[in-house]
Amino acid sequence: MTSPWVVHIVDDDEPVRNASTFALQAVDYRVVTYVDADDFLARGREQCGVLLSDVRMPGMNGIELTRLLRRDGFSMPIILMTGHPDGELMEEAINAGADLVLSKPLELMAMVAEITRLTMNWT
Amino acid sequence: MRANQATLDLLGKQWPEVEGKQDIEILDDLYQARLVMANDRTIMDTGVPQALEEIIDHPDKGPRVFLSTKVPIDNVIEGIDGIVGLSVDITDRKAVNEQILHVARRTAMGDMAASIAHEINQPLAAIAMYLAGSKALLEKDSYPGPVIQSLAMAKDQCLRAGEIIRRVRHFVSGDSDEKQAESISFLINEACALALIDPNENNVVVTIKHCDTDIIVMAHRVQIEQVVVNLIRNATDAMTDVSSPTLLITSAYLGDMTLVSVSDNGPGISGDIVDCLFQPFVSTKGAKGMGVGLSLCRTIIESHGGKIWVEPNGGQGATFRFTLPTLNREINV
Repeated sequence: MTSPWVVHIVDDDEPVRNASTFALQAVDYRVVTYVDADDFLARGREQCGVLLSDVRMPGMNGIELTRLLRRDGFSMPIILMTGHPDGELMEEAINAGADLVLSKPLELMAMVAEITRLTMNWT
Repeated sequence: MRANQATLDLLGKQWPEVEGKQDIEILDDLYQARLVMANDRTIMDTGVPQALEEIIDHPDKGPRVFLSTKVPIDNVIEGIDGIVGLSVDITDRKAVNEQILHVARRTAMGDMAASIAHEINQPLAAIAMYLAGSKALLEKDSYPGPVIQSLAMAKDQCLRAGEIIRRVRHFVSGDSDEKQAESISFLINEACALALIDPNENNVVVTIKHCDTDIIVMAHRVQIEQVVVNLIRNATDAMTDVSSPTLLITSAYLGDMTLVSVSDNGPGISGDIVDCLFQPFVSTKGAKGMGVGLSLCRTIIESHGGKIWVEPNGGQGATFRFTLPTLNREINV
């Protein structure tokens, strides 16, 4: 049964976008993808869903995007992905309002578990 | 021919073998002998002294590289009828230079390790998702079509990771490649792929412009790539605090020479440091830079017969330029 939650993937790397879409659809999530932060701000902000965003992107990075969204009252779960997890980055991400920081390459079932956990308290 | 003892030692010959004979009779390798005699003939015909590198085999030590200065002997009455040559065996010196350049390439890659790792992580992330999704679909016993396609995509990502590693390994390899005909646009593109391995590092907007027609230069491929990588890394480092960093890399045909330029919009080079920028151990990076990069670039470019220099940009930043002798210019078919 398809989850009512839509996963919004923001990543400038096309193969990563495509692969993540394939994997999440295989476990019955609906997926919408965006090429960068501006793309999401233009098309995805109003939609109900979980935001799954890369940190390092051209233009606005994932942490700046998180900070902007939280300031504007966006309350949906935000998961950031990074290939370079370090204490400083994690702290900055959480302070900006991200719910979680996962390191790449991501483990699909672990990600699904986190999405389930984060959306559990929502109706 | 007359020769001093040092010459006999360098050639590995005894005087009786050499006395009164021409190079073609003395030297073991006919091809080398012909080259030496052709150089001598040119100098005698033009009357112009020259310094040049010549390779001559030693019977025991193998090929040795000599820096030979040859001056025509003009005996006034009958004109030029001989040559005085002074040769220095620079084989070991060249080997040390090769080692220095090699170490510098390895150091550059070490400095870029985080970016290289990040870029290899990208295809790995895609592969992980393709395989996890495939597994989930197969467990659901669904139609295998999408799985077959995703496995093909995963394979492509493996090759993508392999490409990155191949580039780094080629750059770092100690093989001292021979000088050969190379397309300047190919060299620059390879160097850019390496230097800008993480496209989102510092968010630099990069423009590369080449001539319509391909320009061929005679070059050590890895060494010229090393120069371009160094200039690009310097430029991106200089633009760390710039809000809209831009990088422009161009190649241009100037007839005998080919011109390569790397321009940034960083803070530029201050007047007091411009004159000594290409000297060893001069660095603008504080504790971060060892300061050998640009002096090695100069060594490489000058050994190719070119020049390297820096100019301020009209607006903001610096443009580094170097020239290389053109071999040929291909006409686009």
